[in-house]
This record gives sequence, C-alpha cells and structure tokens, in this order.
Amino acid sequence: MLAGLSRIFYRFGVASALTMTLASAGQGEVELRRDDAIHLGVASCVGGNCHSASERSEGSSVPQNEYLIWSKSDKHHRAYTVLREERGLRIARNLGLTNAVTAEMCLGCHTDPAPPARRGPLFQISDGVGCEACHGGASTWLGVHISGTRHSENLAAGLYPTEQPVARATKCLSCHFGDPADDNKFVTHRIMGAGHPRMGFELDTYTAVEPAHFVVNQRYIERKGPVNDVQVWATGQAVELAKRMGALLESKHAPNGLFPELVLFDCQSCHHPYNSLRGERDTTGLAQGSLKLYDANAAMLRVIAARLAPAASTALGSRMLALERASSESWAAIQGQAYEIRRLATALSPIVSSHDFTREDLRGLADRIIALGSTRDDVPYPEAEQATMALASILSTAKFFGNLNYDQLAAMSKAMGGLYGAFASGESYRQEPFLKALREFQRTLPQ
Amino acid sequence: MKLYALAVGIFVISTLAIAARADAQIQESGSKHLGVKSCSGDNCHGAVKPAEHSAVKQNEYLIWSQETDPYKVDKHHRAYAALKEERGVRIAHNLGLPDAVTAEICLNCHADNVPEEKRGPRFDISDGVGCEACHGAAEDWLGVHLSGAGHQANLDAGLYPTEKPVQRAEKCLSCHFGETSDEKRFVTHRLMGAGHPRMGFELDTYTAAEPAHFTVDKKYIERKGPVNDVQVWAVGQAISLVRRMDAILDPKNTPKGIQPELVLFDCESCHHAMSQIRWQPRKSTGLGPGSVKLYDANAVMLRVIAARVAPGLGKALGEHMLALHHATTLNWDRVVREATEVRQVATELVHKLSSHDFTRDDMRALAESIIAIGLSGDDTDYSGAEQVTMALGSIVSAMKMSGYLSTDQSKAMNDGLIGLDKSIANNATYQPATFVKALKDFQKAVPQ
Repeated sequence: MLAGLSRIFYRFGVASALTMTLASAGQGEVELRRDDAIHLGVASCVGGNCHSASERSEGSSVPQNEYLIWSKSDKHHRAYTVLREERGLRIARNLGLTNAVTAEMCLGCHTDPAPPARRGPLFQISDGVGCEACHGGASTWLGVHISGTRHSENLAAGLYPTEQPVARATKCLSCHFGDPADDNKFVTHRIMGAGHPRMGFELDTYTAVEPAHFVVNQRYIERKGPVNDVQVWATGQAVELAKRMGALLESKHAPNGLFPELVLFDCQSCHHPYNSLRGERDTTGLAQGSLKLYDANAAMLRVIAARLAPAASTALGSRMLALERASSESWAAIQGQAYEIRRLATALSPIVSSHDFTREDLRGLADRIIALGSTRDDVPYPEAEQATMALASILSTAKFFGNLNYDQLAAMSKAMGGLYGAFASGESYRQEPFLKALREFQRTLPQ
Repeated sequence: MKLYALAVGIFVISTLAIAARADAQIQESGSKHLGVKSCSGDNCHGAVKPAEHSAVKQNEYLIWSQETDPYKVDKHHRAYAALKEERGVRIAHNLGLPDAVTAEICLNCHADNVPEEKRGPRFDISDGVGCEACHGAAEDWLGVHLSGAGHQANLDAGLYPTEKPVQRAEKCLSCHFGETSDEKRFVTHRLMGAGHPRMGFELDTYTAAEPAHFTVDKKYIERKGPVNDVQVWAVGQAISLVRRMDAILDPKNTPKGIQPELVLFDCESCHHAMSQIRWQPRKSTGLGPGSVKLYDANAVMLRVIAARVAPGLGKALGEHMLALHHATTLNWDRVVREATEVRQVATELVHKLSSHDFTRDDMRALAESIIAIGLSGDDTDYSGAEQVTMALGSIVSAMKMSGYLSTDQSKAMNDGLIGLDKSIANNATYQPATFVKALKDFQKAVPQ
C-alpha cells in the first residue's frame, strides 16, 4: 500500500526542475559505504541559521528549512515514536519482546542505529531516522560542510551522496527492502505476521512523498548535477531487483520447515479474499494456487530494458519465467535463476543510471507500461502499484522537461489521481477499475 | 451456512451401536446405476402425498429437485448444472480444460460419474449428484426395495446405509473433503486457485441443510434405529480428521518445489486482510506469527468431544496435534510422523464415538466446553468459529428433539445460534470480536 496517498500530488508541487543525465559512475550493487564517523545527532543540524531557518539566508544554496520539513511531515521523524504506539506495542508483544524501543530488530530501521561508541553528546535515539541515518555520521564532514565549500568536498569528507540514484537506492533500500544479511534490518514474514505493515516502495515516488527536503533548481544542478525522476525510478528498479535476488540467495531464507521466507513473495498472492473469481491462469509458468515471488520490479525493469538494452530485457523475461517455474521444482533451482537475474539486474544498473532519458524515451516507456496492463488478463496488485508509480515518475519528468502544456498537465494529473484511487488499498484492489483508470490515463497522453 | 438443523424434525434418543470402521472403504459394486428417473415416479419418491402405510414421505425426489424455494435447493441436484455456469466455465478455462462437463476431475464429484458400462438406459449424467451417487447402484436392490421387504433386506441387497453415522460420514466426505487416493476426486489448491469455492463441512449441519429428504419419526426409528445429532456431529469430526491425516500421509501430497499441498491448510491462515493485526498466540498450536497453519478445526472439536467421552484419547490428541503443528516448522518427515499418530487417535475415537450413548449431561458439558474454547481465545480463527457454530447447532438440535428444552429455552438458544451464524456469514469480513460477543449471548441462553 502506498504510504501517504494524499501526499502523492505533493510531487507535482515540488519544483524539481531538471534536465537530464546524471553521469554518476553507476555500479550495479553498491555496498553501503562503511560509516565509522561519530553521529552527532539531529540537534547538530537544526540551528536557526543552518537547516531549520524560517527564512533562507542570503547566498545559501539550499532553502535551509530541511529540518522543519522533516520534523513536521516526514515519517522518518516519527519512526522511533511509532514503536511506542499501539501497533508497535502489539507487534513487540506478539514477538515476545519486552519492548520495541529496546529491540535491535526494530531499532535497526526505526532509528539511526549507530552503535553507542559512535554517538555524540547531542545524539538522541528517539529522534528516529535522523539526518545522519541517511547522510552519514557528521563528525568527519560537519566542519568542511559549514565552511561552505563545494559539494564534492563534502562528499570527499564523508557526506553520503544521496543525490546519486544508485547510492540513494542502496541507502533507502537498506531499510525499505532491508538488508537480508542483517537480522536487525530485515522484516521477515514472522514480523509481518506479528503486525508490521506491508512495505511498498519505489525510489522516485518515495523520494517525492517523503516529502523531499530538497529543491532541484539551477543551483542544485550546478552543485550536484542534473537529476531526473525517470532515471531515479529506473535505477531504483534495477537496484531493488538485484537486492531481492540477493535475498533469495541468502541461506537463512531457504525453507525452514515447510515454507521458505514468505516475505519475499507477493503479499496479495495469498492475502486476497477468495470469494470472488480472480484471473489466475497458466500464463506465468506457475500453476494456479501457487505461491508467487514478488516480481513487480522485474516487470518494470523489463520495460525499461526493452527501451535501453533490448537483449537484456529478453534475457530478463526468460529468466523470470524460469524463476517462476523453478518454484515448482526446488529451492536450489530458484537460487540458480536468482543468481542469473541478479547478474542481469546488476549489469543494467549502470546502463540505466547513466542513460540520457529523452522525451521519446518517456513516451516509449509510458506506452509500454500501459501495455503491461492493457494486453493481459491479469494485473496483480504489485504490478498495478508499480505501474502507477512509474507513470507518476514519467509524468513528473515530462512536466519538468517542459513537454506538457497546462491543459495536458491538468488532464494527466487528474487521470493520475484516478489510477491511485483504483488501488488505494491492497484489499479492495480489483483489476477492472485499475484497467479503466489506466485507459483513461492513456487517453490523456499527448499524441 | 444455514442452520436448518433446527427446522428439521429430528427425533433423537440415544445410542446407535454400529460396527464402526473408520477407514471403511466405500463399496463399489459392478451393478448398474439406473438413474434418477427410476426413483422419481409419483407413486415412488416423487409423490405429492404419501401412499397409505408408506414408511417414508415419498416426496424425496421433490425435495431434492425443487428449485422454487432458493433457500432449500438441494445443491446436489444442481451440481452438474453448476459446471456449465459462469464460475464453472471460468474454472475450466483457468485450468486449461476444454469443458468442465467432460472433465473427470469435475464430474467425479459433480455427478454420479460411474463408467459407461454401469449406466442404465434411463441414467442421465446431467442429473448431477443423483440418488444412486449416495444410495448405491439400484440394479441389485430396486426389486427388493419395491417389494417392501424391510430396510434390512434393502441393505442386504446393496442399498448404502446412509443412516449410520460412520457410513454417512464416509460417503459425504468422499466428496466434501475428497478421496485422497483418487486424484480425480480431490480439490487441490490448484483447483481452488482456479476459482473453486472454499469447502466448509460438518456432517450433521450439512445433513440438515442439504435439506434432508428424510424425517426421523417413530416409523423411521423402528426401521433404521435411533438418530442422535450430537453423535452424527461427533463421528463426522473424527472421520474428517482421519481423512485429513490420510491426505497428509498420501505421497502425492508431499511438497513439490517450495510449497506443500496448500488445500490441507487453514484457508484464512493466508487469505485474510493485512490491514488489521489479528495474530494472537494459541496454546493448541504453539505457532508463532506469520506461520501457515494446517486446518485444525476438526481436531479442536474432536479434542473437546474426547475430553468428555474418552479423556485419555483427548489428552493424546491434544499433544499430537501440538506436535503436528510444531512439525510444520521443521520438515515434512516430522509432519508425516505426527500425522500418523493423530490418525491413530482419531481412528480409535471413531469406534468410541460411534458406540457412545450421548446423554443430556454430555450435551450440556460439550456445549460448555465448546463455548469455553471460543471465549478463551484459543481458537477464534474463522475455521474454528465456523465449527463451533455448527457444533452448537447440532447440540441444540439434539437437545430440542430429545425434549430437553422448553419452548422459551428453545427459542432463546435458536436466537443465539442465529447471532452466531451471522457472525460467521462472510469469511472475508469475519471479526473474531463479533463472534465472541455472539458466543457470549448464546452462553446466556444455555439452560442452567
């Protein structure tokens, strides 16, 4: 389910003016950089002349209201607090924990989990996912940063490059999908069963709805390079697919008892009401009534690759089919395919993150995503969800390319609202209203 | 589910001593099935008014075939027709079958699908689950039956003894759970995924809700022996559990790939909304959150019954079920081992229950224990709530027909049952709290 549906349109209000290509040295799977610095705490960033200014100071390259946005509207700010609220308490009880706020498995993603030895005097765990959880421990770079030097020097001193799509994807997904190797940073199906909400994610949309505490304007681009929503979206898909395949390769997710780690599967593949007929049919290589791995990222990446690297798209398609078939064979067969798919996704990551997305690309991608829905019997919930977020990223990019006039933009934004409305809740999702909304969106595409 | 158990006049006394065979194989003779038309004559089972001295109402065919009262349609009659309707067509399409009405996996339960050489000239497959699907091939016994020789002579000639709880359970469950040995008579999760509806079942309630085309009156009891709803319910639970364990033990159902045969699990264990936190610990399963639970509602009922009738077996059943649930977190070999133990206990219970004389005290005590399960929160899963509701329906029906209830008591309990029935009417919107509230209301209606 999408967090903050009402916020989704915020992205169309954010002035993330942009152009193209970000020539970040894209690596497929970026290891999160080791962060050995001291985490100085949110209090070190919130000064009235730093990141919590009600008015930006003259000459500042950023609006300086970053803390205010984070503390007022951003769920990261409430991540620790929710552990103490009703749902958090219930989950902790169900898991047999004394308390969620003392459990590493919760704190790993609901706070900035710097170990006590690396917490500065102003650091407070109750700040939730604070500045340094994403931007890195500030002890090595705060001085350089305040000195007003160039962005590249901040990075060199240790500031995390959140503006680079691959780096951002790696950072966000370390919690929004999780680190399968780290028990304190991975939501297993057991935790889901205890009451944890489903975790939907798409890098570009979630950046926008966070809401982003940056504005992409000319100065931003000068300092950090151009940013482009479609590129962020596409890179997010490649990095996430590589991560998901990595999770299948983790030995601890192999079947333990009768079932494998169920959190790697499509939630709605099981959690759907069964009183109405669904369109389950042997089109995927899976028999009806089978557990289905979450594959919406792969569906998106195939679309992206079909435009950018057609051979990789074909290979990905046949590997995904083989992966589904493998689930009726054995876990080893699944791992064999997962290994190959991870390789493909990893290879696509730099191609996607360095591609110069043109106006024609946007149109081509939109057409293919719409075709995903309109040419099949069955659009599962996760694909509907990812297709909608993809179209939002494309629309946002087209808007900032200046490709759309006011009427076109109004019509497309309205149709976008229809798409979100069609699957606002995973439980009430029905593909017919979604397909109808998709056709309406299609009609608003400029010819 | 409709609790017609209450509307159907079932007079009950006590004990039914029959030679129980838990694993009784359904006898298949080589005789011909003569077809529904051989039974539906208006001086046979299609009579508007019974002939003088008739032992039965003679309206059996009319009850089975009527379609004017939608609440009382016998679905067996529509079993074949349903294959040609929207859902049936869709399921066949999803399974890649050319047609449901030509597919054995559908026909074996949706019709009296005997082989061609065993079909008489008036036999019509489109009659659905007709008379002889349950009562057996009439070629051997129709002559004796028409001669008025008496029920025992009919049975001796080959009429199936549907009045005996064990045999009825075996017959009904051969489709209502399925025949594990026959893959063309078993609804797998693949069929469910293609669109087959969930299959709830409880022998006594489903007999009443069919609706039954027999009336238990003095003449019935003289000819076929006494009937006790509680016993039918209890025997049904034991045999259902034996069959479920058989399905686990069947090598066909060994996990293939990454999933076992999911139809053996509790549907709602996975098919539930994710928006509410619903998990709570259950002493009787020991399973943690996020686990997929084997369907255990029969076992929970049987444990309650055994605790009253054969406490040692009740205790053993509880322990082996706990071990079985635990085994699902280990491996299939352990599951098979524990299922063997559970099957053993359930088989012993079939014998005990089919010869037990269920008294008024038994009925009261069973009602109390069943209510206690729901109120203790140990099993308020949908499948558990469903079985609790049907169990209480059987008990009320037995108490009422035994003359244990005054008119007021009967009405109060009936109202309580309606409340329970409403609370489980829709598995997609089922709320444990609503069920527990209805159970408390029902509890107030139980006579002290």
